[in-house]
Amino acid sequence: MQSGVQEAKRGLGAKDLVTTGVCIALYFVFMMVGSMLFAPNPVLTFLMPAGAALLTGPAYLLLIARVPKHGPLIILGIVEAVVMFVTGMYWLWSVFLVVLGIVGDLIAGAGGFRSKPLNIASFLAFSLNPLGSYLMLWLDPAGYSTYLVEKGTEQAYMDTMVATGADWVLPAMIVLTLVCALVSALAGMRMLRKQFEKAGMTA
Amino acid sequence: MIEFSDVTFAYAQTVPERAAGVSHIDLAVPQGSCVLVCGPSGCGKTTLTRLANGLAPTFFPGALSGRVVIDGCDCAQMHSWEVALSVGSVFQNPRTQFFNVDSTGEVAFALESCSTPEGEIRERVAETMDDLGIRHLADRNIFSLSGGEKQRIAFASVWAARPTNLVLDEPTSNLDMAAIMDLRSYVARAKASGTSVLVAEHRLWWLAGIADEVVVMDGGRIVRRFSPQEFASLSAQEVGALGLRAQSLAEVEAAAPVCGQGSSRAREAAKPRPGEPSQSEAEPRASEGYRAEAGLEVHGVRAGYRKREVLRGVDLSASAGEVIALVGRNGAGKSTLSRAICGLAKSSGDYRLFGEEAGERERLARSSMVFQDVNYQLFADSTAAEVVFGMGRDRARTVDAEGILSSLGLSDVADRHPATLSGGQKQRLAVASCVAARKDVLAFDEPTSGLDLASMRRVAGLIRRLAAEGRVVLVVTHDLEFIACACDRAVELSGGAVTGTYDVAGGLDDIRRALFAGTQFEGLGG
Amino acid sequence: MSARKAMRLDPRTKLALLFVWALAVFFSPGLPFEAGMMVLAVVFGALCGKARLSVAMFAVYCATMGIAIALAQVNLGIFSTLFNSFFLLVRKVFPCGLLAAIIVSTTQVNEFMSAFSKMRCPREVTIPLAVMMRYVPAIREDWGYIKDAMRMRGVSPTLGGFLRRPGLTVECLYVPLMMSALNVADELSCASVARGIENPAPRTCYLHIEFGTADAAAAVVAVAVLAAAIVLRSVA
Repeated sequence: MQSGVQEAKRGLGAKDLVTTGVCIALYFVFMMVGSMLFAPNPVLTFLMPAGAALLTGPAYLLLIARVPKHGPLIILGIVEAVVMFVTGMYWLWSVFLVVLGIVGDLIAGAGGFRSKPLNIASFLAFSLNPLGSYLMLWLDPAGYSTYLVEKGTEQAYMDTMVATGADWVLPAMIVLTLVCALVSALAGMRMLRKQFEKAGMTA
Repeated sequence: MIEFSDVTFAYAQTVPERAAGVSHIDLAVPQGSCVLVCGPSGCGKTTLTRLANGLAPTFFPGALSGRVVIDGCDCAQMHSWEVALSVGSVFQNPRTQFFNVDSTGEVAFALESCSTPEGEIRERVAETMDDLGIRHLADRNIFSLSGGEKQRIAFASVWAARPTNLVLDEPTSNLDMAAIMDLRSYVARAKASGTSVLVAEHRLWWLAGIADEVVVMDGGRIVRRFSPQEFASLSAQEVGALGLRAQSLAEVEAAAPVCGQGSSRAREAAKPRPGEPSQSEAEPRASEGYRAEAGLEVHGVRAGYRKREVLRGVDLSASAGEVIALVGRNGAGKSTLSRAICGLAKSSGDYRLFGEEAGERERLARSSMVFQDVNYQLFADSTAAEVVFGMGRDRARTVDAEGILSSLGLSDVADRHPATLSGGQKQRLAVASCVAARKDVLAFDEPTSGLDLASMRRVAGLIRRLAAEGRVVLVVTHDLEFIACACDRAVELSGGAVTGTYDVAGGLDDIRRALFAGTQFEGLGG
Repeated sequence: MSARKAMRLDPRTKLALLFVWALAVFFSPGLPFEAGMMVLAVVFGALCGKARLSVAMFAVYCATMGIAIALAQVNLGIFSTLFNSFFLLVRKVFPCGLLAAIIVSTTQVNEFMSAFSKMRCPREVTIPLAVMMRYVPAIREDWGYIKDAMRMRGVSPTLGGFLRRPGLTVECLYVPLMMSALNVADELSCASVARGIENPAPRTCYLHIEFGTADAAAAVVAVAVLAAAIVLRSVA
């Protein structure tokens, strides 16, 4: 029995892993709902990371509140990455999920997973993960160019277009996503305090 | 073989569980025998099952003294998975014990955990499913299974590993009769093959002829022990006085009028706890005065679910003050009918509420459901706020929330978070919100699943009172004792149509038959 | 199963195919190469018994690329930037998307799980992944009840309702869903511990997975495509 207690303190027990899985499911569903509206729409597609960030805050913060240890956020990143990869999303998204999962874990871990500002910061960082799939536009301008050149577009026109895209769309996306993530995190914090802490359901 | 010798267990402070500990338990479940542990809610019987399957103290921390011995090994010296190898556990809620999305994978789960070679797993899984007669449930999506089918799979997943001991914690709480009868045959089979079976239950009748010892607990201690013969010889009143549910459904009939009329005997049996509405105030049946006023009239209701026609022309009428039980097998259309009446499911047909025609919108405004899992309908951060949740500020001001809470025995928990309330309190809180919103038609879904005698009677009293205030109350239920206690009529649904209407007074035999319809054990209710 | 003699691959092969395909798209020298990859994916889909799905997705792909090429000819200012970026995203996602759709629709969750456990994926990933797969459909069930409960309280579970009373609707949406999730987590972990999930022995899987000739053939084709992509790109 004693060894059992110690084991629970050291690593992640079965209960922690199951709880993590359930919270990941919530995160996934909210991300899907938040992004479904935007992703397949040519005009709104760049709003997708913001839409996903707007809904996922409470689920992310619930995971931290329920399993305040190192690991669950990395697992969140890895599992989401696997799901995204298997469903055929652009691979950089998966890479971002894993990397930002680790970053998020470190940020929240710096405050022992109990510091509200750091938990929020952790979510802000993690919420940037869908940018991975858009980054190909900036990462691979060569591929982008050949695509347009094949269609016989003027080289000069294309250059300006890549330039305009690179100039402000990426920063605008990042800022908008962070703002939405902040709103979501603040709402999530409020909900945790008002409902879940009062109900004694946070660890 | 499961042996408890002088076992005392208290949960650690950190466990947010309301489950009570146990003290000085001496109990043995020998090979090939079945011990039934019963007693009122909070008597410690669930804790006993957790000690037997090793969840306490490894999963639920606490202080343990005495010895729990499984097949000769001290449980305290074993790892959780070592206990799992020799003790199979089935829990109350079939929805939350599944780890896979497909039924076959679920049955294989325990075998996969202990690293059984894949060929052997396949053999054992197929054999188990044939053995239990659930071949037709193989390779199905868990979410397409009914609660009863899920519980059969849950049993199969435990039985596939052929554990030498079985621990069942209120396994029938959410089941219909057909599933209960199947579970009965599974337990009988396990027992016959030499397995020790420990069952903690409120429902006793399904284990008649199987249990080799009946143990009654209260306050964490064993207070009475009966041999099956002794237990069978107890009268219905004696069983009731122990706070237990009927040991045979044949006796329910005799007990019914006693309970319904709120005689002194029933009052004594169901001593209300302080601060909770007492059943001794049970209101008279509707037949004694309210039947005149038309309440709900439903004519030719049809409704579908995913292209399948679930209701094929249902007619139903209920007066204000009447309590109607909806009975029938899983999939007969009981829930769809209640959802349609409450304006939640799309349906066609004529509806009249209190004499006036009522469309979906009016029905939604004037009626409400109380779910089996009320957690889904509690939203607010305090009990008091929950009562008026969703109302506009002006409307909320007209509601006497305090009065409603005190009439339902919830005044002293007004500031608590709904999630911290007991199951019964949550249910009454859901009712409180319906009362506050002046709902005239209430539909309860299985309000007595997993309740002990006293709680069941309290719910019965509550439902009678809601009806007596002029409401129409529909109750979807499989609980014959509850029907006998609280309902005026039972309406039998089958294949999406009403196939029978029976008065509770004098018609209980027909209702019992309806509840057992479709099981191979139609005679066993006696 | 939609076809009688559908090709069955080891789920590990399927994961490897996706990986190679993603790399090939990354190194792809241009649209014609990707179109060729789409055709190969359609053939793969037909072999796996998903001909209709593959052809339908291929048709959507052709239509989208047609629109993209047409739109690239006209100058719509900022909208051109948006459209062209969007179509590039679509173009880069589609070949993998088609392959993924075929794979997901021909593989059961437990096959994926068995693949992960055979690849010695740590429990810290397989358990949450399995729970997530199992719990996502349950959220839909929960949402059905919660929606009913909201409507009975006069709170509209729609976008319009959200705009009218945002705070209230958000609370209705999250609180019961997350409460229920935590309860499920507790009961599910309880049940899985009682069924030996903490056993340190490597988990087995009742499904038989084996690397066969079909797997080898598929792998060879995929690797050849990747090699071609790299070579053609460096040539260009």
